[in-house]
Amino acid sequence: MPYLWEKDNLNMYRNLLDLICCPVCKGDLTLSDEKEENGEITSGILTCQKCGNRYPIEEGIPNLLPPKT
Amino acid sequence: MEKNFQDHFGKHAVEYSKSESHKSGSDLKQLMEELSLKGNETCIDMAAGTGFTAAELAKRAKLVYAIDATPEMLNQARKLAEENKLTNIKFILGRVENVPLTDRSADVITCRRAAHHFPDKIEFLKEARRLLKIGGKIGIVDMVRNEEDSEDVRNRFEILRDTSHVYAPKITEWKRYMSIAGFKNINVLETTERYSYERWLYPLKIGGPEDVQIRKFMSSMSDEFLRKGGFDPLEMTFDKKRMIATAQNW
Repeated sequence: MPYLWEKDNLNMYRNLLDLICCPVCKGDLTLSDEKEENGEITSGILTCQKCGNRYPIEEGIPNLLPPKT
Repeated sequence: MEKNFQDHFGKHAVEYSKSESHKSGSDLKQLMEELSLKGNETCIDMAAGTGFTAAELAKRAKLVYAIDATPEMLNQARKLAEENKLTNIKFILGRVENVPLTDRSADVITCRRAAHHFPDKIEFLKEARRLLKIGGKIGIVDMVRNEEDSEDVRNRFEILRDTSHVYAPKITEWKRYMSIAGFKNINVLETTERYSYERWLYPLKIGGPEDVQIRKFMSSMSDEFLRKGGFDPLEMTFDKKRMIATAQNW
């Protein structure tokens, strides 16, 4: 599944977390509960370090739609 | 509005993914020519839809972020990337007003055949500028209404066809928005194609509820206003006018 976000062997998850950010406050995101297949992240939770909003990764696609208010 | 476009694109994702016009319209080729990518760029395709633009970018650039708010559309985009063995496209579910990417992350931003869904074009353009590196380029392709469409007939037609359609400005309006948002070196190409009524209606069908509403609207307007809106009532054809606009973030 080469279209997913890959885990960089040398610098874990660098590709995923370097450029994406929280859509609401633009804070940094951390990844937890991740599942991988062939070195690619298929699911997990992204949590904003600034505002605490949580965003799921489902079937390899991060859902970074702002939470419904 | 949000619910409208989720409904429309959720329902019609497969039809859009099979649309020859979206896949190989001359506007896509022209956009690529205008952007003249060198191969080392990071690109963001905003409102990527079924991914035809992102795929063309991925063939010519280093990395592409394809952003769309409708999961069904993004699933079609992912299939297209797989079919073309493109591994440098990253898919993100997100909104164009709140793109979940950091400031100055892109060399190139594209948005093709989508901006007429955005309620606030200037907000979208400002968000694009936030994402672009200094000297970075934006390329927007979208339908535009005629300069002489004084009664805004065209947008009323489009809203009847697609309830998620919000507003397609004139080219002069777009130029103003881009300059208000702070873009420089604004360059606009214009193309016009003639569509039969049936082709314009696609992916909706003749005889459907929207078709009935549209015909009712046609009969309520004078031929003069219909023509200004780009519709020829005798031939039952639409002029489909598009702009290919590029500008730089300086």
